[in-house]
Amino acid sequence: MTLRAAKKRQRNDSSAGIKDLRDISVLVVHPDDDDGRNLIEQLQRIGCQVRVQWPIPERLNTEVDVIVLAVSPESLSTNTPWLLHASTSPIIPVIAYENPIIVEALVQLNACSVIPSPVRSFGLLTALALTLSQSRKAREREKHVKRLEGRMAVMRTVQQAKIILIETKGMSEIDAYNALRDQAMAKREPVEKIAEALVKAHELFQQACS
Amino acid sequence: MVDQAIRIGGLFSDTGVTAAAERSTMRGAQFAIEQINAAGGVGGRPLELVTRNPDSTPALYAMHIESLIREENLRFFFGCYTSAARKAALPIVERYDALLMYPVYYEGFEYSRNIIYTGATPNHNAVPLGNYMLDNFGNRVLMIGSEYVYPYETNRLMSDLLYERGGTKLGEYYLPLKNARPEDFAKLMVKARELKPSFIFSTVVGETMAHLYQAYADAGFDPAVMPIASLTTSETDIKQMGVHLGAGHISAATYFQSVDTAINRQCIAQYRALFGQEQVTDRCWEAAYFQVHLLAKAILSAGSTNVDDVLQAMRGLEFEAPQGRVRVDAHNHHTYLFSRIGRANAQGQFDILYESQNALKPDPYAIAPRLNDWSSGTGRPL
Repeated sequence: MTLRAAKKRQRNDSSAGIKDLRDISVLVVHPDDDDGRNLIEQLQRIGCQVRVQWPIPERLNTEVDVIVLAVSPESLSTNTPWLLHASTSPIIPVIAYENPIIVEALVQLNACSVIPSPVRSFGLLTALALTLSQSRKAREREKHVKRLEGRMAVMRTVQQAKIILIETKGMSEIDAYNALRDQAMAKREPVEKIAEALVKAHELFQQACS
Repeated sequence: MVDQAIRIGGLFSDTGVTAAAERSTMRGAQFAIEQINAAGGVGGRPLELVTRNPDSTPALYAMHIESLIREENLRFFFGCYTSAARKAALPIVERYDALLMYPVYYEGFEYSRNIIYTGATPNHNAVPLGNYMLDNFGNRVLMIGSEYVYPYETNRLMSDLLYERGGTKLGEYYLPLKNARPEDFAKLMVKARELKPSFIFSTVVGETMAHLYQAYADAGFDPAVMPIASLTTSETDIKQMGVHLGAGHISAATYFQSVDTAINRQCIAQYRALFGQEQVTDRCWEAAYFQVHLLAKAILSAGSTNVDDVLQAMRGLEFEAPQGRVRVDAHNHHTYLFSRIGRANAQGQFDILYESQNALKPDPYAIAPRLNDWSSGTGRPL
């Protein structure tokens, strides 16, 4: 893909994502040292709303879009379950170590980019943009999966109801579906509601007979 | 020790595609140094410019800076022209903790503690120019640029501005920085005849700029109806390509030679007395000129040539430049500069159509143009 092709694609899908960078709020959870100060200054240069907190709080009280978090052997031992919650804002770790225990922590934090220490101005904007876009995509994917799961459950119920009609009434599959749909239309209910009622009734009936 | 010269590296190409502009930039620095030395130097020490010719080739800027640091023990540098050159120099000046003063407008999205940027960021030139053209000529735009990062990024910003104002981008074309031929530009003029843009937005840089204006003239277009609006075309470029080719076209810059202030008039008179009556000045010349004065002031007030001390003194430093009073932003190392739009006249000078009342805060990380920048009363049409 050429650079120009990349630019054209960006226009269509994600340029809005980059434009938001100026309005986002960032929580910097980092000690007050050179790295911490460089982070804050560069975030301000970019134009983000910056808040700072240290040490890592036991729970997060404020709404933020991104958390920039110092991840060190020391900070690993703090008890902060909220960091791992699915609902926690995306996290950009700042790391000075690259050993397995730190890398494992980054995987747990679900990070998709990191800021290496010593912190330079270069790289932070990219990390913010990628992290925001990835977390947005992950959220959309999750919503999509939830919707699909719901649809699957509905289809399973309708299938069960059809089988009941086929077995007890000797209907063809098409007639069974049409019967369910006609009932649904007459009662002004969705097909899955009728199917659900039929499946429940059939279960009760069988329990009563056995 | 007191009268020992303060030696400063000058990275200005004398050959290659951007040589003409860089020679002008070097003269700006040399002129400021002569002024400072004539007035007794910096705390009694004269400034001495040690120049190298990087041949408009990014790797050579980096190589020359590194050799000047290691072999000549220099710490202060002026120059670089394209962003590619600056990006190549950046890791070197950071590694050796040197200071580079960069006198060219560029696309932004950079900060280094070891660089002071004295050229325009897009909020000084691209956004005002875009708004001016959309207000006065219409919103159908054909974009033509040289094939490198500055035109890409500038056109991205301009496209955003255009979309937000309901305009149409008729095309975005790039030609090689080196070796783009006159017939390549002629083909784009055929496109322009078909598409009938309200104006052509140009970010063509270097030697091939003359081909664009020549092709435009050959096509017989009228600048009063459909001008070329450029962020890059300066007095020096126009002098090189011929004033008749530039006349009627529009450009945006922090400084034009025609800026009507006592300091600018005096500066130009002195400059011509020293460098020749035929000399013209331009935006990068002026930035190179005042950044030498900024460095001199910073060294004087720091009382040392230690890079850390000089940087400390540089933050927030002000100077009465030919464009007006400028100031180094303490936080992002870019400079508060004026915003101007001019139309080239038959003498190769710019008649100023618009200028900001004050120096505007530099905004190197502006992702999208803010429309209210234009209407917030910071500027006045002339």
